[in-house]
Amino acid sequence: MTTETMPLATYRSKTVTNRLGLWLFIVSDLFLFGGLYVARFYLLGAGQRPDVSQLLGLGVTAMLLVSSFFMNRAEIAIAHGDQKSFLRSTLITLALGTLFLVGVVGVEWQIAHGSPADGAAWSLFYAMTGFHALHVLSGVIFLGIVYNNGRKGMYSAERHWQVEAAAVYWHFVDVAWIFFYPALYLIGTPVL
Amino acid sequence: METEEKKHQAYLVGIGVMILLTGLTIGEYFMGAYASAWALPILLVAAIKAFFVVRDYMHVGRVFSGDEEE
Repeated sequence: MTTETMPLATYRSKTVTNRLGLWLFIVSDLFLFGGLYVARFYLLGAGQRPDVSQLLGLGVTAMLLVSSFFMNRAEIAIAHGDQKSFLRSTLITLALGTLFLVGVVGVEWQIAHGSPADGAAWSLFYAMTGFHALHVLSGVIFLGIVYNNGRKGMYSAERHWQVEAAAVYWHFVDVAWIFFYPALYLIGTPVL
Repeated sequence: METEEKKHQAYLVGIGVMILLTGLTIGEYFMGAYASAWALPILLVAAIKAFFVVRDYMHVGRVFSGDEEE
């Protein structure tokens, strides 16, 4: 039985279970992000941070926050049957996520003053941004699938669990960056 | 008509959170640029931002309500 053919009551019941499963996954993933976060403060304290561009950090952070705003719009749109707005907002989210990846991996990593082998500050910088970037990449792929399915008209106001799951995952990646951004770019004085 | 109103309300919440996140991020940036030793206030700003995203964008309340909509 596909999601399109199953009775709505069954679909809703499955969604409640799916939602709990997604949040359990998010909590388990949070431990990985938390481990990196604790390692950053354990090894560098609050007095040191990698010597990275604060302005670029602000730029990529803005991209991710705005992408979350559009992801939220996409979810609201499909929950009210507005296919056009859903597709447009999902596409903007996808574009901003890709720009974030370009900003961190394509620009920040290239202009950084150190490599992963240059001490704890740089090891942590590459580990934290790299781990986070992988999550953004998987989110972008996930959103690409959702966008493609949306174009085929697979989602409706009543049946759009995949969109909700993609949105929750995307916002989770945003929350992780909300904590990583000050830890890497703002707190402490730069160390080479 | 009621659906349109609900959608409009949901959009307004999203815009409100976005404005809040923008303001807090700018404040956080200047704290980091000019007072980078203020670790706790900066982390507090991050926690406030995360709270609003988890509550209003991730809709954590749905997990506990068990309903399709909050």
